[in-house]
Amino acid sequence: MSEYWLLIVSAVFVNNIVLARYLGNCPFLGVSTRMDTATGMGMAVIFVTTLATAITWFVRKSLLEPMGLEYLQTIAFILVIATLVQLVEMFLQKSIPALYRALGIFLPLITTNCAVLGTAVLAVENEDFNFMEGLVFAFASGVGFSLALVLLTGIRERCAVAPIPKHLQGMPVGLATAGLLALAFLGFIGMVH
Amino acid sequence: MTRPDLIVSVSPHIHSGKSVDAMMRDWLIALIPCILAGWFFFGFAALRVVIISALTAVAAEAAWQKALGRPLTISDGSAALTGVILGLLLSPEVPWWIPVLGAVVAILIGKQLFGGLGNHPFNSALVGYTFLFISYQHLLESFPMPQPAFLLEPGGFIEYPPMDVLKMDGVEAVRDIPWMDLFLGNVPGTAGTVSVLAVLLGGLYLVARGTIRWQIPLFCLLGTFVFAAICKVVSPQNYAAPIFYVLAGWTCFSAFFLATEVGTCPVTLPGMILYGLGCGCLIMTIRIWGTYMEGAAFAILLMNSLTPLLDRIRPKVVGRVEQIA
Repeated sequence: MSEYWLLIVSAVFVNNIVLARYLGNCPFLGVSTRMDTATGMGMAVIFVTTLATAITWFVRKSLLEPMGLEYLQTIAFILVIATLVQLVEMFLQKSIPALYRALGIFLPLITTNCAVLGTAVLAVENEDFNFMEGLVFAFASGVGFSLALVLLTGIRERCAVAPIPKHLQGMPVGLATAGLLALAFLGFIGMVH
Repeated sequence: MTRPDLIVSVSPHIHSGKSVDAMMRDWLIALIPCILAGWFFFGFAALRVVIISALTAVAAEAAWQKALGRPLTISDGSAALTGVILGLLLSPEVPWWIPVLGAVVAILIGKQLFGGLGNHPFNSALVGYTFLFISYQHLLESFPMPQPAFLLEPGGFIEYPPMDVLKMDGVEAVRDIPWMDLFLGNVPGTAGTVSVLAVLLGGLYLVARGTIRWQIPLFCLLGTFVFAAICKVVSPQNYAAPIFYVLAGWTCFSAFFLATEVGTCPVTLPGMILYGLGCGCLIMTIRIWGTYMEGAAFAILLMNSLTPLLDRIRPKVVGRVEQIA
């Protein structure tokens, strides 16, 4: 049990997917201007990373590795993730409309999110992970992404009303804030070896 | 020009008479004990760092505002305050360009980039400090031995700041440090943070003047103490006495002067309580499980980033309009 806790702390705080690994910066900066879109995006990322890791795990272990096709991993994963998300979207729209509406536009948007692909690759390529650990890692990475996104959104919502110099408004201050957030997250270094 | 008898304006209508200038003056007065403690224990070297840092901060703010054609606000003392706090956080032994660099980063990136006083999300002095700490850690971590100017014998019990000794040499090494040395500041450290007595003098002055709210420092210290006490109860041989964690290192200075910077801390009561407790717990978390000796700087920055969320916890507005017809 304790290794799962370490895994979660590691993926959420210490090796945060955005603030320590710098993956998924595009949605991180793109949708962090309003809180309701940020939470929607966060939920969608958690959902898709977990699902995508589960599927890509089998793609790698039972398809690519036996055939010696590991070099096709990137293309295969992108293809699988994109198709999977489209399928899931159709499924949700018909069967769980409430969740579909909550995730909204973000579900199709994150098919090409490098945080999702990155998490899947990190989880699948790590020799120490079994299937369950890979899933927990993916879920925790999604949570870490959502946490960073919500923190940044809170700050940027405040910046929206601040007298920021005109040429620095929007993205420049967003990037600076993200950098300072990453600086603060450095405090967690060394907590998990 | 004659003023009309009745002025129509939006609320608030009653002004306490406090201005930004007065508030910053209070802060600077409150930091005098810390500056004096720095001079008392480390001599002129400590003053040198504070002065360089304060002057650079003011110059950086003036240059930025001149360049952008904004009104100059250096006379309100907020830039000087950031500089003084940064100077107090740095070891008296750093080269002269360290406080210069730190103050420029603190003012430009930590404060002015976000629109100046009251708009920056992170404590500006700590932005400068963490930037220096990450970039020049080896320069920031050599501390002089305390050499009290008069009255006291030099402490000399430990050769590094107490938190460093605890991390490197274990609990046994810090067990016998006299509480009095920690309280007065007779141990190696930085000018501002070393003396709990000086911090308390200044901090209580700020609380008494109403410049900072008492909830944040109280719950920050409480959070640190309770967290340490729980650790101590769970495994007594691995942790020092809870009071050690409160007296040593940055705890008190952070609680009174860093966690409470205007605009970076919550303003609602539940927000302030959670913020204070969060600061205390994160300080301890980083100290115990993190790589760094002193987690306060990162802990406060992390809680600063939570402030907008904590401010969302607010009382329900009485008599709100259900639906606008």
